[in-house]
Amino acid sequence: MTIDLLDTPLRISWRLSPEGPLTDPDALIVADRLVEAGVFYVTLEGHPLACPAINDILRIFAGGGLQVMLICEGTAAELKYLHPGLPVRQLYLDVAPCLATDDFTSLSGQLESIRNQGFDPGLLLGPRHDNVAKIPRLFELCRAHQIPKIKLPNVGIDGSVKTLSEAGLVTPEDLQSLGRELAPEATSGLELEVHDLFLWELLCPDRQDSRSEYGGCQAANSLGHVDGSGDLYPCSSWPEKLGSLLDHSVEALWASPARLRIREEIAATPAGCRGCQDLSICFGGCRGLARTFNRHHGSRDPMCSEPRE
Amino acid sequence: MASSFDPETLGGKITQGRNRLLKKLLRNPDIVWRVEKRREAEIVKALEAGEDVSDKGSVILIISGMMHQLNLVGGKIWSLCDGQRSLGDLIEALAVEFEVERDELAEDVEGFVDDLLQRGWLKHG
Repeated sequence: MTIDLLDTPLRISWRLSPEGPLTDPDALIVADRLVEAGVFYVTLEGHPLACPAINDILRIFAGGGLQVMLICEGTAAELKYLHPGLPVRQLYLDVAPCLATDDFTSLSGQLESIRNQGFDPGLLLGPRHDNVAKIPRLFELCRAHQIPKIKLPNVGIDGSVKTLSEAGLVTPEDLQSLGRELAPEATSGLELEVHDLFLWELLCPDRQDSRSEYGGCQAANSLGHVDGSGDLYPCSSWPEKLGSLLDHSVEALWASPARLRIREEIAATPAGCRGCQDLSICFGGCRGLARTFNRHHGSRDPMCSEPRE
Repeated sequence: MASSFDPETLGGKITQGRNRLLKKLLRNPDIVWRVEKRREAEIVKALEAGEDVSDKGSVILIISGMMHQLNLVGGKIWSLCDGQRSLGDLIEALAVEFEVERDELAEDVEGFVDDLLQRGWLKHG
């Protein structure tokens, strides 16, 4: 079972873009804060490669022993900054744009550019209502391009993702439909990292014990998120910020009454989950999305159809 | 009836035991870990109050993406395995910190270290 009320998060996602409001010196302050907090892993999203301070940020992380996952969309503006020896543990290419248009003409070239710089890319897709049916296509793409790693992260709703509405979320019906479309060996040979529990249940049925240590939603515990302004959130799916890393340390914000209240809220059984026999497995799933979008169903995870008996 | 006492074998075992005690222990560098300070302070307080804290974790390790935790004594042993200390050094250090029979402590520490060596979490430096 995961330890609750950790001193600081273990994994942070950070939306880092050149068009973001953070100045370069402020971005370095945030990077220092994350190292000082003893965070283990940081996932840089947005367009981090095109951020002018990226080399200095990565140098700070490497010096602090912090391991970096980096997401890019494979644009020329990003790829020109990619070079061998960049201290990045894993680079993911976000394929949402090409899956949306079914245009994969540039994918091979992007992968070749990334590989030429010495990186072994994975593919990433943020699951949404309008793309979840294309997950089998994603698996085909991985096989065609000999890419074993796939990451399906959680749905971000922080201040920089203003366009997301409930209509954009994956629904239980979407999952049922996906389940019918998936071939029995669809994920064979692939290394999947799936954040959302109900999607994971569907895609990784033979890895049930890999979540045996799971103790429920990790927002404001082992997970945290930094938005484009340097504000710290419980996770990217939780809409309430804890404070700015320009003014406070991670440890101070993780010890704040707001953070403790959020953990108490997460620990309480959602009204919509009462009586469910699988509550001890999912612990209510994604509490951030449930809290924001699914109050009319007792704050059940939006991907959960109903309590199971 | 032949005696089972074999001076050479016994001598070999003693030498092996001494060598084991002297070998430096090093944490697997692929494992990321940290001490949870707030949790550790709570556990120390509970220990001082006479509570059983053996199942309470204070050190977190991430191994192959999975989170593991070590209790107070396990965490102390883990923290001390910096490549500069041997099993004998660990026992000495822990004997100062914890009020336990020396033989019992040595046996427990040795068993724990053996387990971590077998898992590949520790190696001989």
